[in-house]
Amino acid sequence: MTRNRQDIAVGVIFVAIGLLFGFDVWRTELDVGTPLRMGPGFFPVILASVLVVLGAAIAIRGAIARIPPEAFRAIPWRGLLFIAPLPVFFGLTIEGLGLVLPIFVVAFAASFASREVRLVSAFATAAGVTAFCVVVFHTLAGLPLPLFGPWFDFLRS
Amino acid sequence: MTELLGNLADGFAVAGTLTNILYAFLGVLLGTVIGVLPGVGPMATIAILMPMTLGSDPTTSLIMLAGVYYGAQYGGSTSAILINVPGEVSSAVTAIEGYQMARRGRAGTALAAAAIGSFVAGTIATIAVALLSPPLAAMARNFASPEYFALMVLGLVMAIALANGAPLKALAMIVLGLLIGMVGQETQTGRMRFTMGFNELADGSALFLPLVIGFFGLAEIYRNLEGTGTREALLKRVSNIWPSRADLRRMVAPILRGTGLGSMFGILPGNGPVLASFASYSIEKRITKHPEEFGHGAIEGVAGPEAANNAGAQTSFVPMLTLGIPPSPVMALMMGAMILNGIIPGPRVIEENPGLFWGLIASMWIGNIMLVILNLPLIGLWVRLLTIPYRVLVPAIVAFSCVGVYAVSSNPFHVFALTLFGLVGYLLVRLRCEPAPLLLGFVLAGPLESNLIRSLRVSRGDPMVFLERPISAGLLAVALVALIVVLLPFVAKKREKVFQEEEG
Repeated sequence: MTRNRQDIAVGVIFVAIGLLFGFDVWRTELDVGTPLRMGPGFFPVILASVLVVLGAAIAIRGAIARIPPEAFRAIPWRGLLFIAPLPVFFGLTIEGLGLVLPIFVVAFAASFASREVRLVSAFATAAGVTAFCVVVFHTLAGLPLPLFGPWFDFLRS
Repeated sequence: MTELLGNLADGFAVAGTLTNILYAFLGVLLGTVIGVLPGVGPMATIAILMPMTLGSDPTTSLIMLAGVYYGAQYGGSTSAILINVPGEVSSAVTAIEGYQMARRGRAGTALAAAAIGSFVAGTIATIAVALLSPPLAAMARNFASPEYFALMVLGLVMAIALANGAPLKALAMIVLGLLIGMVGQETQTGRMRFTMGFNELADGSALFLPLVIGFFGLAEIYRNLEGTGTREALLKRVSNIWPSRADLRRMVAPILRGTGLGSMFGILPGNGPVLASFASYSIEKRITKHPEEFGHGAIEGVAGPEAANNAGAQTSFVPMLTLGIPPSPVMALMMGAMILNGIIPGPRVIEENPGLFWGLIASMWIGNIMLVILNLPLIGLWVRLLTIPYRVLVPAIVAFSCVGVYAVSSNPFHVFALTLFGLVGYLLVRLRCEPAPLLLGFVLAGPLESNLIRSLRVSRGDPMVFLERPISAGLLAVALVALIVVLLPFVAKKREKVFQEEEG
């Protein structure tokens, strides 16, 4: 196989991103202006055009040059599955639950990214990480967040 | 000379306060702790720890972050020597001879050579930074927009020349970084750009932290979870730290040569520390009196590159602090941290913030002392850290990343962005697109655009302004030559070969 599919993909992605930025300049009616009075759209349009050209060059080179694609590496599905959603969870709950629980849940769940995980050690790790984060960010850095947030208010009558 | 001494004395007065010493110590300690962990390079370490440094006053914050950098770098050498897992390219050089020494039971000597080399280099480089910065800043004060624009273009082009991987891709990554840097409110007119209706994106620079933590922290974790490659653990007890007199004698010249190379390359754009450690290694290999030892644990091959690396790490602060041009990806991180602290790096820092400027320089030397104090006696502890399993490491890094981003921005939106940047960063790594050039583009996007606008306004829209001014014309010419050379097919092939050898 002489084509390098990876490079073709990279090139196509860059072209697409360049076009998207260009489209957004047009969509939001950013003023391009003139060289003398450059508008907010001027530099982005130049950059987006350059990116399209570069992307095309990368794709073409991938199609014609004989660069062997590198060996396939396993995709860490387990890791991606367990880790990627965590920041979203953290962002959704941090202001409601306060510091302690979101940190604990994130650390606990992230333990499962590794196959060798055991429940007890995941629990212990999460507890340790939570304690460390609370000391660093709450006690030392003084992050203005309660340890247990307003969603716990029903407990404090 | 007396002025220099006075400035340095002022610097030591700033860096020597109890708070600053404590934070420098904390920085070096945390940097070493995270940096020594296998597979976590300085970029990841600095990114993950950056939120902890923000929040105190800018000087203290930067002193701590600089400490993290030295600690991370030295920690990286430790894991390179002991288990042959270099966290970054520059410690890959250390790993070549260092790991061989460790396999022959001379791990302690290799670690000591690295520490002594780093310390001597750090001391000399601190003086170099103090000597070089004021004249450079003075020169830069005469620069107008066209010169700055040209200087930034040169810096970006040089980043491609030395990026690992295809130059075309690196160039595209820079442009992508510049485009992402355009997101947010435009400074001249106040118009929103590429915010897609999210108010949270109005301040585009707030994306910096999620971007670096996603790209260099989370993406790094995903990559490590690919789980290929077996780690040959070499964790016998490290004994015999102190090198023999013969070893010491063999180290002196390589360390001094390495320091010279490092101090020089560090100032030049294009990741000087890495280049310097390669240069030092090949020079030592060429002129050694013990050629038979190279490849089998030559102490010169550890001491020289480590000195070069550390000297370069320090002098690379010079262009960042005095010109506002980060010469390496790590300095792009530092520059981002300064901006988050409300300080715009450039020639005015030295005048407007002399305490910060000289304090930071003095803290470099203090940090280097701490490095030696921390590392050699406590080496047993670091060795044990190397055995921390991934199932403990991963949760800690993921949790720090989330809390850290939230702690700085107080906005859940930026934590959400972390998920996105982690995935995109990992995709880019898999597609063999190095994220470092993108970061450089992102940091320089704003200044590059505003200098372009200003230049063209002064010249009434005539782009010839860049060629009519001798300094900017010269800089752009160098950039053009570098670009052509990198993209020439036969140079590209040779480059690929060099990088493969380095990896192998």
